[in-house]
Amino acid sequence: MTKVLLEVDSLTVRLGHADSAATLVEELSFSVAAGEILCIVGESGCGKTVTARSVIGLNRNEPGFHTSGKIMFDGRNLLTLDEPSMRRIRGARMSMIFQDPMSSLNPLHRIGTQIEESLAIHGDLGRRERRERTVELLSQVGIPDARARIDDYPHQFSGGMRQRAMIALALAGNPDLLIADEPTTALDVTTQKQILTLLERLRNDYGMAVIFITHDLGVVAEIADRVMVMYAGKCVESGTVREVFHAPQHPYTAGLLASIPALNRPKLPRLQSIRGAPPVLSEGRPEGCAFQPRCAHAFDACSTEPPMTSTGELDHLDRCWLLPAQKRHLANAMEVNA
Amino acid sequence: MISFLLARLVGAVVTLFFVSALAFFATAFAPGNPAAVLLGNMATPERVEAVTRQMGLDQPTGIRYMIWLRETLSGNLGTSNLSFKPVNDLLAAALPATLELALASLLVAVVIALPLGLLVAQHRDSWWSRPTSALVTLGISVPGFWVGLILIVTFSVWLKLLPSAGFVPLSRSVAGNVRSMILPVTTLAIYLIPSLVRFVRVAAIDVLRESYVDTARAKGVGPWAILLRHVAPNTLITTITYIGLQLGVLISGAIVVEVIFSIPGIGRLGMNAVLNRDYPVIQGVVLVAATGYVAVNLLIDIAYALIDPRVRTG
Ligand SMILES: Nc1ncnc2c1ncn2[C@@H]1O[C@H](COP(=O)(O)OP(=O)(O)OP(=O)(O)O)[C@@H](O)[C@H]1O
Ligand SMILES: [Mg+2]
Repeated sequence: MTKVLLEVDSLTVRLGHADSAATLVEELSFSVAAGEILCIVGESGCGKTVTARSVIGLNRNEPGFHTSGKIMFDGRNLLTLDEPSMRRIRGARMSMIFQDPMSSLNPLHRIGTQIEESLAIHGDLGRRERRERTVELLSQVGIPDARARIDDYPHQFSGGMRQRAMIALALAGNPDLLIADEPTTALDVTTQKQILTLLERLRNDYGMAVIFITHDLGVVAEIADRVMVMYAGKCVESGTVREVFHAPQHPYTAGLLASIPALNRPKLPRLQSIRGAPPVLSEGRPEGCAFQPRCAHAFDACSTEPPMTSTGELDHLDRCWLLPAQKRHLANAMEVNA
Repeated sequence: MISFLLARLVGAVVTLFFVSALAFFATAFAPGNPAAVLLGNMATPERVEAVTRQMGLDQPTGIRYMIWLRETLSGNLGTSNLSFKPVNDLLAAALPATLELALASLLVAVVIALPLGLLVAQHRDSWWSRPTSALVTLGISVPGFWVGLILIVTFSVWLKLLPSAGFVPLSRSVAGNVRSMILPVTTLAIYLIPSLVRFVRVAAIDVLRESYVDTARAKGVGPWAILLRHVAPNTLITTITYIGLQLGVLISGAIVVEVIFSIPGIGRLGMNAVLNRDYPVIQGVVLVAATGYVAVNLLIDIAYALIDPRVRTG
């Protein structure tokens, strides 16, 4: 295996004061190897964004957030790192792009200025060199005629171009890890596809690891090396895309996959169609397995929380009380449905 | 950009036209005969009628408006019914004091309220943020003139440091002018600051939640640079609009302060004119106030275009 770049260990994020605090992310552990694309999937509100923001330290200064556990990046625990050191990591070693490219660029600053700002913070390039580098970055992400567009304002760019500019901005510091929080959700299908291709190409060219958050299992199938399925702030299953898609061990994963007509068809619907709704984390989590109320396979044991167990296959973990034989049945049933 | 400003300019002219019509008809239809007021209780009816004719008040309102409009457009605002001085001269004499008071107070208010609002927003969870906001809210509920009276008692009656009344024009003595304006400007600024701080705080908290602020944080920008480069300019856009809307508050506040500190400005001139039914002066004051209002809003539009590229190039 290649070198582990990021190792998250028992990450727990609470929001609010003392006894009224809600647990948004609980005991979450995962790792990302250098150059790897990890997809995080799960329904809305399951804590994907909170996880991503915790990794890059965006909610460490937000009122009411309490984060515990360990986030090891390059041998250092980011959770105990002081803010100035963390700032030297953000934008340089690790960067992030967001869901809505319409609002993630400052409307009052030129596109070029916003990229140059990052170059000025993290490098020692002079004014001219920064500008040259910015043109280079913009061309690299596929902005046509980058030299002429560098002084444009965000409102003069289309949604797809803004997301490209955001990627250029994220690349400015040559990061080892890019966190992309639903970067294609707000874009049309064609643009979506182009952005995915771009991210994959950048990963291949630079060996940059990517944490890609999405609702869309089609996207996962297309770009991920590994996938982590989250439910109610916890990881319920993780493994290589191949393992998880062909032999899902958790009824929730199986349900998500079953709601897709066929994975190799080009147009895939967004995931959903498991009956019921996930628990609202701010109102406290249910006893035992959080998926139990929606699970067709629930039995007595499910009233206590199942531990993460390995299937025996490399890195394939899941959190479910069903017996291995029953879990195998899940995969088969799904294939019959499909 | 040019067409945007031209459109605003046309709008400004139209606004002024309607305000002038309003100023004329409001006074024309007001009860009471200015000629009678002018002559006092002892005048005979014949004398009142003669003066009424002499002042042109016996003409139909429409015709009087046409005459008034023609004269106004040619820059002649008439003569005061009270002092018989040209309204133009009265306004010209009163304007500098008011302009100085209003602009200096606004400047002081913005220079204090903008950084304060931004800081309170950035540190909205620290121990001092809540007490500061509470103090600001308290400030909103204290009437402006009350602050003025406290200041007069403290600084001129007790400490005898500053004059409590009287205005020294800039042209006569710069030091004297500054001394005479410290208390009035402080009073008016204190009147403006609380609501401005509160507005800036709310606007800045909104901006701090914007996704582009996260982008700036995610690229490693420090908290001060985020506040100055990203939050402040975006907060300024909405704050400028708010200042434009608060202009009425500034004008009414200026009137009160002029009266408290006996500053011979537009506010006091208008106040006396209203008390004495001096219609030409009232009309002149309304026109000047409206022109100021329209001019400031035009300046605000220009400032908009300068700050926001979406207005400039959109
Ligand atoms: N700043 C915040 N204040 C209050 N609640 C929050 C905040 N951020 C997240 N939450 C709550 O935490 C939970 C997880 O939110 P999160 O944004 O991580 O979900 P998500 O998986 O990213 O969902 P989506 O797919 O809709 O983006 C939600 O219940 C949300 O309401
Ligand atoms: Mg999210």
